[in-house]
Amino acid sequence: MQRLVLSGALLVGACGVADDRPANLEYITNAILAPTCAMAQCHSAFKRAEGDQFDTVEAPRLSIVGHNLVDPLAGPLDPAQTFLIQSVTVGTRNRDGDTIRMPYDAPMPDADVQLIIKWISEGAKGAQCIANADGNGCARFLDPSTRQSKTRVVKCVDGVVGDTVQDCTGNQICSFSVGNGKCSG
Amino acid sequence: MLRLVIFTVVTAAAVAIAHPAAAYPQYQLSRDQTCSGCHLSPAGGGLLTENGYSVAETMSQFGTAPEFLNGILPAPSWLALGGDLRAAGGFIKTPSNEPAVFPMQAELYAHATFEGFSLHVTGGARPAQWITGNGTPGVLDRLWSREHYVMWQQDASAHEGLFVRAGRFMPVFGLRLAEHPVYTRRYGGTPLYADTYGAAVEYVTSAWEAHLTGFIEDPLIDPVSHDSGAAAYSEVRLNAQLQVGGELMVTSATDHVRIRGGATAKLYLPSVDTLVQAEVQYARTQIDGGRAPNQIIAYVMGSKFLGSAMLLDVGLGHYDENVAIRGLDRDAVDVNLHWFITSHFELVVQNRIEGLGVGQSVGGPTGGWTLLHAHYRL
Repeated sequence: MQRLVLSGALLVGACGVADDRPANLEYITNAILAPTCAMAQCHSAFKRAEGDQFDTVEAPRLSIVGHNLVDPLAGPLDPAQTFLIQSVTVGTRNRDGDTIRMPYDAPMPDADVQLIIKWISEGAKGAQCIANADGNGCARFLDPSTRQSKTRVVKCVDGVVGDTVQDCTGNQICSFSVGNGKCSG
Repeated sequence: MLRLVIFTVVTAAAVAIAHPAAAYPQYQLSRDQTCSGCHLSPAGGGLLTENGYSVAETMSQFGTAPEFLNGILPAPSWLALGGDLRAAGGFIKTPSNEPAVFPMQAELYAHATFEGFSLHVTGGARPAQWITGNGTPGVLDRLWSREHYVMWQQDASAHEGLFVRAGRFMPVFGLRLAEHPVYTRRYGGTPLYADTYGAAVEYVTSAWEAHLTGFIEDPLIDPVSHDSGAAAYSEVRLNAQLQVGGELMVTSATDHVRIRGGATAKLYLPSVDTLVQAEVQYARTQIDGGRAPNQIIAYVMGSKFLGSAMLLDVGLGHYDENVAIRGLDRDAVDVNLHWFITSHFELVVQNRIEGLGVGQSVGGPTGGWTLLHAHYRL
């Protein structure tokens, strides 16, 4: 009887514990970011507060790459220190210098934060780059010889970094906001 | 101090607690049988009928003339005019306590009737969309028409029977509580500003009503909701104090297909002048990539009328983002006290405390707010 009770308790305890949700941008956008962050007055297409939008897969890709919310390839990467995670755990400074924790109107479950951290730690696939008309984007990498962060032009498909097209040298950089998909400067 | 003022105003632009409200479904069964008994729209909300004016006057501390602008600007019989102004201030727990003061609604309504046909337009302020480069939105960027539709109704004088609408409006679905942060609205398919273009066939009688709406993602502006689909809602009044309802919504967007089904119920207890209403919804979202989280969304509200001018709402909400995973469910307790000072002016104290994974070892921070909300109906 004791064994039966113990087995039952273990089953009940195990029910719903394992978080096997996929750590990809499609799931995170539709199941977490859109219902939590994309309210009318916040990060919906309707408002686009602070320029960030999280209601379709394309939208967070653009916000994350365009505003360096994750910087997935600028290793060594600590996902917990990225702007995206800081904003939902301890708060980040807004334009007026005030620290505000997101979501503003309803807290985010710890398990959702952990799933986003897992997605970032696995490279934030889907929001690594934005392709220009030629299919090229920008990526950051850690130069193994100098341990310096550098940038390069890469092939970019669905927000995932592909083959290297060109390493930027000297003072040139590849940045989404400064001539996306080419070395400039 | 200046910094505090700037902060509150700026955060006001980001807060999601504001904005236009619909009717008070607390009045259904307790004061009238149907929404259209008091409102021109078969969905409820917005402009009032003569009966609605009468209820507004009766349900107020100092019953003033309930008509548009207290009746000082009489309109022809074919034209109904109105409007709503709302603002709020208080603290929002995010989980730290942040002061917040923000406008909620500034809208005007016009409803012109020609025989059985009518044209309805709601116009007013909207939150301006962010402009990259810190550009300042212009006046036109802050204005819009949230609703505009043409309607045919079978019996224009009775506010019952068959209604057919086409244009921009919110699909009728569920309890339609005015407070859009309630889970059955926020997570339940009718969030704030989810009004969109569609067509609806609706039938309303004192015994039952049914609403079928087909809608599309707004092709003209960047919308709140990207879903297109159909919504069906019906409710049956078993007697003068009890009604039950059913709901179904199927939508799709670029990244997902979603189905929602649920039930509603209302019970009025005349001996204690209290209305209890509840909605339970199951939602399943098929996300590109193969996963389909099952969700439960529920809200129950008890509303006690206190004398002729006050209304106390106590609501309990539950939202489980994914029933298979622990710690993803949230529960909220809402306590709202309405004071209808005149036929036009209302003060509401709104409070919420919200917990994640309540009673479990996993969850998250606690949230909530306490706000004083002022509402003036023109």
